[in-house]
Amino acid sequence: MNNVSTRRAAATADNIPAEFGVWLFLLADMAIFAIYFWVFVWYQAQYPDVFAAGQASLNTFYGGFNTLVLLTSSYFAISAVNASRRSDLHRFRRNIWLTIVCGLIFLVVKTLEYGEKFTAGFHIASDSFYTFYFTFTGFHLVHVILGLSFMAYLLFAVREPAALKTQSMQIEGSALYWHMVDLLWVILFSLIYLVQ
Amino acid sequence: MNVFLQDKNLQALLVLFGLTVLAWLAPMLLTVPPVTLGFIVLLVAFVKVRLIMMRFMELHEVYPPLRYAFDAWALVAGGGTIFLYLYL
Repeated sequence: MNNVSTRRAAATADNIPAEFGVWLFLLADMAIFAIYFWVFVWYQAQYPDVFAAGQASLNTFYGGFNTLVLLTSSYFAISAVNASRRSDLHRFRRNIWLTIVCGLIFLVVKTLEYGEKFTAGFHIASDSFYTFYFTFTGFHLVHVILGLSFMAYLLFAVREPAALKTQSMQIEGSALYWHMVDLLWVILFSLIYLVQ
Repeated sequence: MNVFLQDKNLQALLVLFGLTVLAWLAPMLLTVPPVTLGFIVLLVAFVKVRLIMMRFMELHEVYPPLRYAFDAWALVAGGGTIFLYLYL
């Protein structure tokens, strides 16, 4: 209880994970995605038949499996941050590796899914559903690749215990970015694959 | 078991897994109109988003105005999406 009170008291503008600018960047990126969500729902209402047919042609397993993979990766990312705060280099690096493995699994599954779509003759100009499907999931995929590159940087930069302190901002910032990638996918999965 | 009880993030992960599978299987589990089903799936998605923000992004213990800003995003993004879905 005392520990909780101390942490709450320390929650000031000078004491937040990562740099303040990282949080602003995340909010701005998330605001852009919020507009994507609205545009998607708007067009879904304008072309219900096209969107229903498009959604019926998707394999929900790919989206659902990737959601579970990204959620797991977020758990590993926060575990890495906590390990870095405890100066546990071994556990930190292990969790970053696990985050990267999950990210790579996401990429492989997405590649398989895109491959199936291209083989079946669907592409970005097929219809309005597939325009949004490829644009939004593709833009999200770029975020995943960027997040993976941040994680790879951490593996490269943090190879000794002292670096856990000197790189703490980078560690927390990279993990926050990864969580944002995760939460955006949670909504994209629901919107694109599930909501009819 | 002890590890599970102490690790709040692991508990959050399991809740997120459960909500994901529920939303995934909702069309098979629920016999409700498609619009109601869509509303439930979207609502569950934004509940999951808030859980990720609170636990994994540690917003439950950061500088309160920052938490309010992200809560506002969840409210506007989620509320706007659900509103458009229901009323367009």
